[in-house]
Amino acid sequence: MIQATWKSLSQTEYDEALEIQNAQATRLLQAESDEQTIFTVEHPPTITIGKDGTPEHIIASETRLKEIGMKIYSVDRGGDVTYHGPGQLVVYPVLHLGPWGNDVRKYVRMLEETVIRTLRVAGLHSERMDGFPGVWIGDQKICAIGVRARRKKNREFVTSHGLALNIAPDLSHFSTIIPCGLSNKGVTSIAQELKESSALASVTFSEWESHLQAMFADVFELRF
Amino acid sequence: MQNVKLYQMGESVEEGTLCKWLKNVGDYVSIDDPLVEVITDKVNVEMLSDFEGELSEILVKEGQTALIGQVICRILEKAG
Repeated sequence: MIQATWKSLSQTEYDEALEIQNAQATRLLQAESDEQTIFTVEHPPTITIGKDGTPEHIIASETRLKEIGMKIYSVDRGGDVTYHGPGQLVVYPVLHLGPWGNDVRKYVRMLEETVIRTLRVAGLHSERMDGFPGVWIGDQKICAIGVRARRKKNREFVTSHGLALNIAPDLSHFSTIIPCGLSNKGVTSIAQELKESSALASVTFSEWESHLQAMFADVFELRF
Repeated sequence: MQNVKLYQMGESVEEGTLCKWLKNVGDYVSIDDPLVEVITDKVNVEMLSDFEGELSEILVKEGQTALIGQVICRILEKAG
């Protein structure tokens, strides 16, 4: 088992959380720390534009964005335009990948696996889609994934950014953007899916965080 | 002259797409300066320079895909 720390930042602005994860990543890169840390956070309504993205993928009017109180940031991760907001569990694992074969591709597969297993707790069947990052239920995205990696002097990769799992966000906020530039794909959430199957209607945000933490422990063989 | 090769990024990774050069031909590059952003399988990897000198040639352009170990640029080390 690998010792790791799970840090819940709760409600935090995007730029503040970015600073926290970057500071930890820098400590790992400069070999001042070897702590494996997973941060979780819930952002206020926020749109981030990745390196492959364009502001044209924000399609809502200024008035609508103002009404929601949307904040917009350009960020140093791969991928296109992403929405974050209340009801979405955002996870930023700052890990050095040595214990998992130092393989950035395998790392993303493990993130996907963690989410797929978490959703299975509620009887939800989700899967990867070839060529489309994230985790999907049918052709609707339930979890966005976008990872950044930098290499230490000893050639070990250090990760930042991560995943955003839709637990019970206001899905209408997603219509302010073309998510990941994909105009023909929708988004869904755990609340939305459970309403349809009426299996487990009242699972709270913190319970889902616990489920996700347990699955991280399983898939990455972590001890918190 | 140092041949800069695309990083090994894991056993299962065979190639990467160069999405953005962070240095231009003619730029002076120090060790650990960010050289190029590579995207592979949903991960954005920032490659840092292992060498110090002038970036003399870029062999793989933005948007093109390179195999792991392929030479993507050359750095002319300062003599002495």
